[in-house]
Amino acid sequence: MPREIITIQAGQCGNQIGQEFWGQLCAEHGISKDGTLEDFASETGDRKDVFFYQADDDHYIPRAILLDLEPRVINTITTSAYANLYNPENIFLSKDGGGAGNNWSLGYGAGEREAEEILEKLDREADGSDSLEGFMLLHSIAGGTGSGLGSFLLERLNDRYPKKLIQTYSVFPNNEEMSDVVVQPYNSMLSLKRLTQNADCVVVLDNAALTRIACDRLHIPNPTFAQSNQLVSTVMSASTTTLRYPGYMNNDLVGMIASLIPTPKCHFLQTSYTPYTSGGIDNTKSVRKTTVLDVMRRLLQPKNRMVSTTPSKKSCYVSILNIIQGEADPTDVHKSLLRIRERRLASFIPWGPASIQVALTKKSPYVQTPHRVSGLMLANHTSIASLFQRTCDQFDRLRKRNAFLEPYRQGSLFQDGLEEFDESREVVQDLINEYEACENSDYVNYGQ
Amino acid sequence: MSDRPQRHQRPATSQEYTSRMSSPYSILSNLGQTPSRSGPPSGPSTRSRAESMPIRNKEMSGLFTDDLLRKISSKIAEKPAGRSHDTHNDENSHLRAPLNSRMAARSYTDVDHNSWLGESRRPGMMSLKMQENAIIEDILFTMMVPDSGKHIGIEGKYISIVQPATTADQDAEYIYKEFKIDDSFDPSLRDLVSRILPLASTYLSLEAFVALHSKFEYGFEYLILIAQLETQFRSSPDFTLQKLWYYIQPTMQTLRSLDVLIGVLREAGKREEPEEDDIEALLNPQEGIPLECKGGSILGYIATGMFNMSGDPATKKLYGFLLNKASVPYIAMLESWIHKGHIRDPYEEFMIVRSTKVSKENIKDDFNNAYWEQRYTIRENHVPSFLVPLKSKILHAGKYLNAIRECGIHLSTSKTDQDTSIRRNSTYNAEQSDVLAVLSGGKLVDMIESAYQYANKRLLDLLFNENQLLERLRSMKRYFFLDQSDYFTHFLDLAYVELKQPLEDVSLTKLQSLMDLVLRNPSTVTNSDIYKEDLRVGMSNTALVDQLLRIINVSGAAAQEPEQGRLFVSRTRSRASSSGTLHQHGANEAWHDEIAGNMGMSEMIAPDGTSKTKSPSEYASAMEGIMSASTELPVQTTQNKSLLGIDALTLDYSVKFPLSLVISRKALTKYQLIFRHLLSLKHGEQVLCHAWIEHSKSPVWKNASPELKQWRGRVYSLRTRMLAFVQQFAYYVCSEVLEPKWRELASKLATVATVDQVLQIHSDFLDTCLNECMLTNSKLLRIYSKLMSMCIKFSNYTDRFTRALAAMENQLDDETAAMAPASHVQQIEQAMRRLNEYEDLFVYHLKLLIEALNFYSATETVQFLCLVVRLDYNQFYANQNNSDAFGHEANPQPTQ
Repeated sequence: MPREIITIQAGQCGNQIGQEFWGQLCAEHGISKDGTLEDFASETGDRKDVFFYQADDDHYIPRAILLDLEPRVINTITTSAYANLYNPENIFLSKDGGGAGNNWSLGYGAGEREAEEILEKLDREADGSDSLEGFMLLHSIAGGTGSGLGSFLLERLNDRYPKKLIQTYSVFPNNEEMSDVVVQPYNSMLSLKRLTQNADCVVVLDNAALTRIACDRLHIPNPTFAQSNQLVSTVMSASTTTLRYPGYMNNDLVGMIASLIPTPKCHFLQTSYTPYTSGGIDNTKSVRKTTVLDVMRRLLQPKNRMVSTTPSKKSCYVSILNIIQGEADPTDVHKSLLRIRERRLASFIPWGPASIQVALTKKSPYVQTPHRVSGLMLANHTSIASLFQRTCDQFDRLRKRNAFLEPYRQGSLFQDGLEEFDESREVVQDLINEYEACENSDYVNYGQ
Repeated sequence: MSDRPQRHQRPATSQEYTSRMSSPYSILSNLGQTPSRSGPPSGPSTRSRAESMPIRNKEMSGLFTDDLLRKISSKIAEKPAGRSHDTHNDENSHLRAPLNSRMAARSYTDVDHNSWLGESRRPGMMSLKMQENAIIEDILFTMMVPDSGKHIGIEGKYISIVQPATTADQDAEYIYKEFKIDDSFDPSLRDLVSRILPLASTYLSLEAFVALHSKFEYGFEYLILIAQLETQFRSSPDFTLQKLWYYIQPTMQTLRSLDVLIGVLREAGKREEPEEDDIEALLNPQEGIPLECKGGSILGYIATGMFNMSGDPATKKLYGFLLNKASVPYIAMLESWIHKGHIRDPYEEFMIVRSTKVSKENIKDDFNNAYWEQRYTIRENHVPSFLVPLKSKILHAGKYLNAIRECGIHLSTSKTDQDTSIRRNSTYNAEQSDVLAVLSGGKLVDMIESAYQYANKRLLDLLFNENQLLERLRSMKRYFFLDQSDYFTHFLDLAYVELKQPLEDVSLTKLQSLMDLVLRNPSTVTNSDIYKEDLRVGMSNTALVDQLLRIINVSGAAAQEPEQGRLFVSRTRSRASSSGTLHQHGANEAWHDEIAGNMGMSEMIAPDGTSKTKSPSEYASAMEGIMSASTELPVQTTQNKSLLGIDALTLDYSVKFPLSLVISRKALTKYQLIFRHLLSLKHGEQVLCHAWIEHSKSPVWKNASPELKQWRGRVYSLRTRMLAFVQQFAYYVCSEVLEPKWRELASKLATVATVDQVLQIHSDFLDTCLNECMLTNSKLLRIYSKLMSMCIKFSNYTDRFTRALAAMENQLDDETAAMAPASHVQQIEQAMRRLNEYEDLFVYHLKLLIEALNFYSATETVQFLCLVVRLDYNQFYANQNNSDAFGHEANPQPTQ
């Protein structure tokens, strides 16, 4: 069926997020853990075929490709209740099983080595869809597999499917405190180059912010990865609601992101979600009254944002898309828009028209939430540059000392030298510059 | 009438008469007359009173009399049993009853009187007592009635008729006949008698009227009237003149009122006669029944009379009685109509008339709701005055039931009959106990009211439950308003190639099969829709904007309001003051009128000075007028020569009968207009998204040459503006117009009580949607269409440009041409100029649109302000100063 999206989950983080994501989708569509339709799932009005297809016995199979270089996470999945959900042919595990060892170069190299097998899986999935809309890559950019293998895939996908959209959900490392992975600035930088050049839309998820939200909003003192992954899956499922529960508008990915991303390079999106009520996380304090205005106002608050940025005075929104789920009165939207404008809760770019688009969608009838209305904001905000700047600063500190570079030399890209690092640094600097230029009214002439 | 006897010259025996009468009633009359003949006629009088009655008929054609008698008596026999005769059980006795009873009552005096009378020729010479007796005799005799047909008075010995000198015209018979009394009587007696005599005169004229109209065509009312007259008359036997006078008073009054009434009826009849050009009436004026003077209108006159006389209880009672009797057949018709939806009206007396021209078969193509509006109409002049306030309810009750029957559903007769019979009983009880209750409203109103409620309930039930009106509307919303537009996105994907072609090359069958494919896809939402079979793909001959402009212009002409910006709603409202059936029709004119009649309106579409959008071709297209979608004129405008499949695409939806009352062709056309509007937005969004993909993924743009780099930001920016415009517009239409209005509609329909409310609510809903979608204002529409076409052109242009660039890159790779960069630069410069044009025009028009929306939000709908907010949320256009709009975007003024 139309406008299918193939999900590629790479590495430990990608597969964990993916697992949560599919669990969420199954719950929302009334699909059981082995892919069969639940008896109660008689309601129509949803579109399962964007993310699932049906096997001969009618059970639903996710359009997902699971990639990892070490078996631990995938083994967990294949021994879980969801074992029969996935198409076993779509699971790729490196033969040696050694993993990438947090080395971008190893991950990238594994991609090169196993390209044929991985791309064969991709082709098969793509051929199985009527009019493929694009790919969705789930990964983190700090480790080895997600960043390295993910980067490799981004490059290849662009060559192989030049007209298909590539959207990524990229988990950025927590760069506010020192990580156990010392080389993560390198990995991030190398991945960022591919995200800038080869992806069409990057949804930035920042581990620092995820942890903060889990602590502050959900009152979990020491959130585990599983809990922050659940936040991510909530965001992902919410951002795909308009595709899965068709409404008047935004029934295809391109329609959503085309308005969010006016200029191709500035395609890094931030997300906010409110209120958090996803299944496992039920520590939310109390049930609040949720109106459209409440939800839209909260979405604009930085503390609900899943990226930790340090906005400057000039920072502004390039565009905003709010996806409101639940029983929202369409007439409230206009009032909320006016109120937000009156209160100047959001500042916009000066070089063109920009607005808050609001898509109203249905809520899944099978997932009960205590809130009447919930909302997700996808926003293109120039403050994202500060995140890149932080990554650059950390990268520069390491790079200056030429620390921990040795493992990277093993990869094919670095055999002739470490120019790739500097090239990546340059690309990211360009990106930062473009975002800054985006804050000015003469941005349209940028590049002259 | 030439044989009208003036005077009975020859006495005839009752035997003669009886033997002539072949009808069985003669026996009765014989029996009744027996005592009266006990005193044989003698003396100087030329004839016996007892014999005189039958004699009057003697000179008539026997055949005629017999016929008439039989006719009338058989007619009487049919009468409802509700009437009773106190003295005679025989239903026919009234024909002679007054005579008989009087004869019987007086018989004992006859001998005396006769002997008295026989002795004296000059009454004046008699004693006062004898005079009195004689005159009573004479008066009573005079007041005796001709029993049928002939309607002349009987002259007594001392009282003679003064014949008015008139022609032998039929009407002459109506003329009030004066009686004259022999002036040799005692003056006091004479005075009294002269006061009594008008009674006889009145009665005579009544008789004449009754006789003339006791034809079959006049319905039952008159026969009943006769009966009433007879009954009234019977109650006036007396002995003394004074007593007679005393007793006669009420009767006299009664008869006088009746006479007045008949006079009114006659007047009404006469009034209409000259206008009547019915062939039958011309051929046989004797039988030509004045249209005005039938059925319902008579009831009306009676009722009016009753109302006027309401101060006089006796008269009022009389009128009530008359009305009650006379209205029986009418009420029966009424009941049949309001309970079953039948018209049983062989003589066209009923207030509802059915037009045979309109049938439900052509309802699908009929643009004007003619079926609903014109199939049954009210004959205004046949509405009894007392039913006027209820007439629309009566009309609707029957119409609804009729609609139910039309769709083959047998009205559950048991229930209806039960209801009816119960009601009928109560009605009859009421007739007996409280005669006036029927007229003065109570029962009848209740009956009509409950029938109306019942019919409403049934038809609503039929629409909402059996035919699932709400589900239908929901499915219409899905297909025409794209509230779950995934199916349509897929369809556009599949049909992309087909729809790119010019209209003539588009294969409708192919599109239909693609649509079927999409709708039947098990994973779409539409798959579960049981009505998906009813959706058809169609092609319009006119571009949406042209079609809308025609509608606006024609409706503008129809409304005759020269200023721009008319709402369908307001127009409809403005016509609400006209009568009910005309109401809808008037609004329809706007949609249906031939433009030929409105040629003079061309000046009204002249855009005001600020608009640059006018062009001769647009005027031309505007002048073509709109027809219904199925009968659109071939397109002649220059613009439409290149009409593409995508611009012509429309949907059609087939609806079966009872629902087609609501989802009529007109409603469907409005749905189509909204759909095509949405389609244009979707299409615009799609091409711009396509351009977005090109811009962000094509290597030509990604790794732009330095020349291209200089201005690709502006290309992106313009594309963004266009996309923002299209998307915000679409958001506005969907979530601020269609969805809220639809919710409103659904909630209104949930509480609706009558079927006509349903129609009204639905049509208001569509009109409001059209209006708020900006489809009813020619100026806004023009700007909008300019903007949209610019978006499409720009997308096509960048698309071509991308391909050209890509081709050039390839050339550069292949050739070592020194020429290439030069041509590259040249091309880029050319592209630059084009880009400037696009930028200027787009920004100019968008600002114009915002201005116009601000302006029209005051006159049309405040909803436009929502659109303004959406279109310029960050006040980008508002902050640009005006000079900047005409200048170049290349150097925009820095804004705060």
